[in-house]
Amino acid sequence: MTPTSGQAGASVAVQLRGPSSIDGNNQPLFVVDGLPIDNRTFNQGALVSDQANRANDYQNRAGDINPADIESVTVLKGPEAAALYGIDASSGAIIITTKKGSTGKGKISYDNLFRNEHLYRFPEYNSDYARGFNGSADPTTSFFFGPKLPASTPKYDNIDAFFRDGFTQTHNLGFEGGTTGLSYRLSTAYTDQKGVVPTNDFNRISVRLSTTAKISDKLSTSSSLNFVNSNTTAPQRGANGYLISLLSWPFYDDASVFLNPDGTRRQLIQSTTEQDNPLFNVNANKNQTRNKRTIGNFSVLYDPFKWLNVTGRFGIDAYSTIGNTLLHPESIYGITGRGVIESYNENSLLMNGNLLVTAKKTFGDFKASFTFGSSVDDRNYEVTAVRGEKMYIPDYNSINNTDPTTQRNKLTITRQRLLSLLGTFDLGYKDILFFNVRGRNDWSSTLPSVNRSFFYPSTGLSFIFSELPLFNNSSILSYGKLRATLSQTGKDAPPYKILPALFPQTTTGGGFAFGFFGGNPDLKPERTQGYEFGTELKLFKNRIGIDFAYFKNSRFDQIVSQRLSYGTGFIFGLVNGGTFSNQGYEVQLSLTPIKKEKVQWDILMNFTTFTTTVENLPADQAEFYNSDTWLFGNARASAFVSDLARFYPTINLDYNQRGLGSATAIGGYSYLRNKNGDILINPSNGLPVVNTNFLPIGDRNPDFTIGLTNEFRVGEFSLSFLLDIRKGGDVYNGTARFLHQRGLSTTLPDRNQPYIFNGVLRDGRENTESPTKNSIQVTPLTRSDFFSAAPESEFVEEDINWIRLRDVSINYNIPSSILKGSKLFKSAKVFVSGTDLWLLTNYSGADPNVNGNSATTRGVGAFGFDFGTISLPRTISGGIRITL
Amino acid sequence: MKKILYPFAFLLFLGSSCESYFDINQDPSNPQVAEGFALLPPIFAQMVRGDAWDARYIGQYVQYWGWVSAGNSWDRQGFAPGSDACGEKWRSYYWSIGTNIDLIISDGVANNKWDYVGAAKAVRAWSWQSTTDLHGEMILKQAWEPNRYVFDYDSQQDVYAEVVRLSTEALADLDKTGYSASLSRGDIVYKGDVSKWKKFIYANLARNAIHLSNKAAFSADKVIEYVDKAFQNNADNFMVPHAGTNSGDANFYGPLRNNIGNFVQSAYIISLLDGTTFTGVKDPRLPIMFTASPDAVFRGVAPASGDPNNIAGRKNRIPNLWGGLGVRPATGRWIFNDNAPHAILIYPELQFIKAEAAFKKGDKTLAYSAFRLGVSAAMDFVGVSAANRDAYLASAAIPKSGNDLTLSDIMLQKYIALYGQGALETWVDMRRYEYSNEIYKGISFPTSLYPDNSGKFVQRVRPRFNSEYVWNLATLRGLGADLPDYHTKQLWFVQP
Repeated sequence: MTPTSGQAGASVAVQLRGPSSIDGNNQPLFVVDGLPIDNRTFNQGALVSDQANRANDYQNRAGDINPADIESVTVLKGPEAAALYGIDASSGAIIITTKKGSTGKGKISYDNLFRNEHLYRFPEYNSDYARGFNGSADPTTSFFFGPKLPASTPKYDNIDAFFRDGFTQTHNLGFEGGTTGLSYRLSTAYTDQKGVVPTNDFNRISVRLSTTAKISDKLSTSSSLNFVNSNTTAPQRGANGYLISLLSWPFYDDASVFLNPDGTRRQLIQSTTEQDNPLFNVNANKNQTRNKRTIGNFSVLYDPFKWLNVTGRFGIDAYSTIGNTLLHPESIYGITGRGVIESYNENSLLMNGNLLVTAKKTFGDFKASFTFGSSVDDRNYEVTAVRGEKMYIPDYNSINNTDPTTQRNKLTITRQRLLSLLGTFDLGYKDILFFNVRGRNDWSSTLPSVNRSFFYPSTGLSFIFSELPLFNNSSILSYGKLRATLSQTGKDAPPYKILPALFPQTTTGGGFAFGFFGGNPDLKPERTQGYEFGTELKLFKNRIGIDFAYFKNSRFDQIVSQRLSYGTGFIFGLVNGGTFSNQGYEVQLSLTPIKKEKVQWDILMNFTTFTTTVENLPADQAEFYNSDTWLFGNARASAFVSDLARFYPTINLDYNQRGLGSATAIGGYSYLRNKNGDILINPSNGLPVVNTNFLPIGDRNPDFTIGLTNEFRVGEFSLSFLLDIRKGGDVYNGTARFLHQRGLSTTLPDRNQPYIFNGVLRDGRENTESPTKNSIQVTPLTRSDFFSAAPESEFVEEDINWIRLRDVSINYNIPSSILKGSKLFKSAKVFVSGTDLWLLTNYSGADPNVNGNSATTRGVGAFGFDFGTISLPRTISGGIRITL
Repeated sequence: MKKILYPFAFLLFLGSSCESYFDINQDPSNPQVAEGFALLPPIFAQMVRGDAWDARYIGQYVQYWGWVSAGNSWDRQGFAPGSDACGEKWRSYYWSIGTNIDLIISDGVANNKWDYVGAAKAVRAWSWQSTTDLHGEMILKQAWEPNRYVFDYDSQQDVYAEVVRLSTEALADLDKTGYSASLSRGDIVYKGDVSKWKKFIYANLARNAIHLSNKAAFSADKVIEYVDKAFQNNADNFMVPHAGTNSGDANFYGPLRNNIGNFVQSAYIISLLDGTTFTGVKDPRLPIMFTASPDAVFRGVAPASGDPNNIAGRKNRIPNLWGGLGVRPATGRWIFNDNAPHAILIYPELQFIKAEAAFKKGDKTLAYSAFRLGVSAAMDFVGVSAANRDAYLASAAIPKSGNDLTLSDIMLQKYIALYGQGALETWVDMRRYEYSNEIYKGISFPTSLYPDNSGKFVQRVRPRFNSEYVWNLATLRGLGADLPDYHTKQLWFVQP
């Protein structure tokens, strides 16, 4: 799970057991009370400006669920989730069950949370040199290659002046009650969050009513209605963002003065290419979304006979978002268009339902259950976007305030339908052996009609060996289970991919032209085949628990928009192909070292490790990449085949082994080397020669991750803390590269010392037995090109580890003996907690656990790409929880 | 409520009418087929985009302009490794014009719109011609083949032959009658005038034929025949209009698009107009085409040297092509304005082609008359007054008769006439004459060429990096295109 940044209202990308598709959606399916909900993150491709999901971030819609409404969460990690919830769960599923009202005397509950957020980790940067080139001062540039500043130069802590402490408050108020046969629960929640970046805020109001009714002995219903209203104001990030402009703002100038006395933007260079002052950026430019969402859910349970159950569910998940971006006429981002306003209206309607008929029967020692069912999923999604330039009034944020001749619209509609039939058969022998077989057939509207229907089965076997007479009354083994599953699943295509689409053109005369993406009339579904086996052990009366799982999933016939030669007629061809697999294991260890009536200590450790292995890529290419991840310079999220030498027979690949054959590689530029591995140096300037082939320069996949929770309970006090540990995995530090190229890096050598790059001259003798050793001196102070010589590979930080104190919380239940006196409170609890309090890492940047794209980006995503993104803030919160 | 019941009702009908339920996979927001009138305007825009984009770099090779600071790789006849710079024609040829042409043709053939079919083929023939002149070998036979992921290249000779074949087909389509013409609807260049489209096809064929001037099989008569069937005056020019209201519909060279802020006029073009080369004759085009420094002297940059005076306040600072001093003015000037049309092919060029062919044939009288027509039309094209034009034609810059006429006269006047928008064609000429300073009098080349050139002049542009070098590398390696000096390898058309 990778948050995209420390901003309020940012999206969160979740991947269970690694990527399941190199170009498709890898997010798990969120299922609430038996029905999937929409977890879309707005895709900036639907904007008129058609952006690459970097500059802005939007909340993923699963974030609309009020945590206070959740009773329990189950995570289904493997492809077997698809057999239960369909192809949208082929990347796993997160199954949420919500709280229901309890019968009996009515209850009122209230809880609150107040939280402070403080940003404390920043990239380090140098502050010794003035702006300029080649050692000479030049106040018209934002490169810091000028002369060394006198020691007396005043320095401003612009970073400290920019960020603020964030503050969040959350209030939950709920009512529940009911009589026999009828119960209800009403919950309301209000959250208001001010982020650490000025102007960044997020607020949400949620109201949810759920009822259950027992109509007769055989018939019961439950229903819920949830309304959520959320508003986000988020600053621009990445290359356009405040962090990059903050770092490149001269440290000898007070960045907090961002306006002239007359209210216009204070410029340093008076150039149209000047970066915005970060405070001007966040104050003058706007990026806001307002979302209203309604989720309705209705289910009927009917038991005509003791052995037969019929369950029908139907859900509607509808939301609309109004989004608005304003790029101020004086901002560098708005200056070309003389002020740009872009607004959009997003409407989504998901209707789904399922009908399951389950028959159960016991024959002696055998228990059998058979389920037959069907489900339907109908999605309508529509975005209308409008963009205008040349604002008449600088701060007036309305599309009507733009020149009508510059206004452009864009309509995006997608509709897709998915229908499934499923059958499952479960058979149990005593409580020892369980066997199941499941089959599901899906029909998807997005595939050509001949390939529309596809079937995928799964089967599982588990053996509870602790039930064997041998282990009866064993004082060591309390529970023991062996399990194995074998499953297949598929994935359909995005809508409208059979034929290429024509897009309206804004060039003179208008009209249509083909877009970047080619179609494919022979499209087939993606397939996954996987197995998993594991064991679950509980020892010493459940004081020790071990859960081990090994998994391997092979993915083939991937549906991929593969970059190809333009000879195809398109920039991307749509191809079925490519095979990769992920395999790994998970160990969950639980320990209860102390267990007494008033004192208990629980330890829970989750260990995960996996690798993704690329066997081949679509269209027999050497690389697949996601262009959204091309954040800064020539480094991007790529997948590489392992036999790369076949594609680059003349290139020395000895230094490009990290990420070879991996789906989580970093592809980028590196040093060009001779056959001995020496770096080649350009004889005309003494600088290294860059290999401009995109080759593997890193692998972002960690060796393993550990989540370690300790919980202590002493009487009414409890203390828990969660450590998040990661070993290995490379991170592309784009921010460091930016600082290096601007002359702001702290790791640069002394600029006055002549520097000789270690390597051999590319003079025609480089691959002979006696290459010419480089002896050309470069003095960084007088040679600005020194700073752009290092390729992207030099900014990949290898084997990044961290230990992060993710969460600490202390709870105190006010004893009922005290509450009795008041007669008002049934229960009361106070808590204090902190998140991300402490981080120990070998990463040189601010925080290695960030993501340069929003969660909507396809494929493996941009985890491990750090550019212009802030770290996760340290938060301290406290609150109370009372029940009346 | 009715809608809510839909899925449940559907479950009951399962298996009966599946197909129609799933028949929703046509994009309601973006069409997947269209008629020619809607496809043609963006194709014109992409013709300009490809040409203008790459002409920025080629303009450095031919010294129409230079980078404002010294040592630029393109000024030094080099290239930008690992970049798509100067790969825009490749992109427009295969993709942004690409199969849109086939959509027009298939709609036109099916529905008797032969004017559209002919125009589409004419554009493709022009695109083959101008793209191969840049890159040499291209994907010809396997282009756009479905389910193909690696592509073989065909020789430039094959591409030249294809231009002739496709042009012949296009002419036959345009000669068809008995259908109701509708080309005017989408044709923002010739307003549906089929006769002008035919002239454009002949103009492109004239280029195709004159480019082979170094070959034994060169036919000057063929060139003259093509020119005579092509444009008759400037009114026939292929000019793509620009609305110029926003960055989407503005001219590539205009300030709104902001593409040329770091380019400044070259010393060489100024020397051709300010009297340095032509015996003191001041060319009336000079103040129209260029801007003087604040001290009222017209200056340009020497090759790869940049403007050493590019500092605010200097009186001898060289303005950028919009006329601004280090800044982007709100409006540009001449062809560098937001609403200026872009010339794809013009009448003066054809007259210089004719003059060159006649000269090579030995018909000096014909060469001379075509030369004078060319210079006169070039003056008109730039917007010189008739009086100034006639004065120039009578000046010492213009030879007095066919006997005085030299090849250099023809090629230098053509060089001036094609300034800016015709950079690609000028580069063809320069390569045909092997960068001769006998022809291009007074030209000097950068003292230090790009390191990978090994001292040789640039001859070709590599195929687009992110199309071919990344995704079709095995084929390129077969051509030697992975070698560092591939861009100095002569093209077929230059060779004898």
